[in-house]
Amino acid sequence: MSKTVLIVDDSTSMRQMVSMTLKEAGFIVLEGGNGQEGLNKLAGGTKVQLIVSDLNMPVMDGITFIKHVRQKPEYKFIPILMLTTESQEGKKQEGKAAGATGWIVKPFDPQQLLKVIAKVLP
Amino acid sequence: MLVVAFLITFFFSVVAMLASYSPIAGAIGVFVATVSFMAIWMKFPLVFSGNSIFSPKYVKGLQDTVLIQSAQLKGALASLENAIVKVCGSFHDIARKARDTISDPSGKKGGLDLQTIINEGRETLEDLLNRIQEKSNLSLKTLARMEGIQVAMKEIVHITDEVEAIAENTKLLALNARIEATRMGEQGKGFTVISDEITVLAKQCTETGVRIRELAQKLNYDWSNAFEELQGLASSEMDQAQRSQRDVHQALSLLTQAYGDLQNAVESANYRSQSLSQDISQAVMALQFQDIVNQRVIHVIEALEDIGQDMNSYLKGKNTLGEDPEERFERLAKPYTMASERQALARQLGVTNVVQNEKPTQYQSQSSHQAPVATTESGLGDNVELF
Repeated sequence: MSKTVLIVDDSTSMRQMVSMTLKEAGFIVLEGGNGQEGLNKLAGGTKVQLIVSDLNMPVMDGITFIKHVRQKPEYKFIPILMLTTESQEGKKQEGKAAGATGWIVKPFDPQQLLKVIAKVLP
Repeated sequence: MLVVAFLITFFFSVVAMLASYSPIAGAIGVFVATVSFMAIWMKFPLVFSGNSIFSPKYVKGLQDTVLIQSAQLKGALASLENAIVKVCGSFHDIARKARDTISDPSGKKGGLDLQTIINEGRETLEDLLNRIQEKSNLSLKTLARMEGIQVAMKEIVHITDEVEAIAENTKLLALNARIEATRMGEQGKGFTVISDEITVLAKQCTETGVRIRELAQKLNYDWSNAFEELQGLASSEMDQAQRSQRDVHQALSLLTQAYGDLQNAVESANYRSQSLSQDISQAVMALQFQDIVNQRVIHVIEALEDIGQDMNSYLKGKNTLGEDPEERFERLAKPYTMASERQALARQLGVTNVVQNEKPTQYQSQSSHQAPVATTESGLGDNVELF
């Protein structure tokens, strides 16, 4: 059965690149343009097995989004990957503390992203 | 004029440095901007005195220009993003079509591959040829048996000759018996009757022998014709079977060769597809420069808007140019996500000590869009960290 991935990024082109990579690999994809939209998607009823989120977004940033996600019992342990241009160690630690599973600095190689996902998905 | 020069050089130097695509141009920009900035700073009391060329009306005009340029940059970013979305979609379509093209001639049809069909066809045809061969062999065996019949018929003719010879001798014997019976007179009359009967039997025997000979000759004639026809037919069948066998083997060899060529073509196409897939991965990666440039330009827009706010403060009689460089760095760098951006701003404001331990990632710090090399122990790349 196909697994569902939620992509949260304010850049339409980035969402499309990640989405097409994942769809071709057989995943079902949900998209949100910022953290708040991501939370709305999670509240929509579809069970998500993985989240790929940007860091710097309008309305609600990635770190705040992760904190909200981790408060939901059903999403306490799912893998959350940050996909961002940010490489500052302090930000990474902030993401880790918020509950991120991994940190990928853009630009990403589609094959590399699939390898990372294969590694973090149970 | 000096202010205009400052604004222009400040704008382009920030763009050049933040984009990091031209370090030399960036350095020149930094130099010119710094000189302009210092010149403005030195002339600050004159320039901001309110009764010079830097009048409130002029500043308002510059502020409008800055805001208009910011709006145009935002529009350009939106257009660029739309274009990238379309290009990215096209790349994935190309990859999908390439894969579809390859999957069609793969030799699979309804669960049977072409090689299986060829092998089954070969077996069926060879079975058919074997049956034709067996039929030809059977005809040859029949011919051999017919040769045996011919020998038997010759024997019959020979026996008929013997029967005729016996009949002739019997006739002679009957004649001699009659002569002897005549010589004996009245006493030999009974023998005369017997010899006559023997003569009649001998004649009948001769006639029967003649009929048998004629029949045997006719049979021999018919047999010879049948034998020749059968021999011709068997020979023709054998030739045809051998020719068909050669043709079938040749056709199957050609089919096998064609299948081999097809397999090679499919393998080659698969290799090209994989290569295309890698190229597209590289292209998708390179297209992400748009997201990076997008962020950098947004920060340039924010810087321009900051200048606009400074001008607004000036128009309201406030002076924000006296802000501490580190405070200014903290304020401007807050939305920055890339180390190269923070470093460029720090250099510009002369506060490099606040970012000295930061290292920009390989991709973000280079002008060429090369894929990051997987150097980590996990083999996931140096831009990946799993917690």
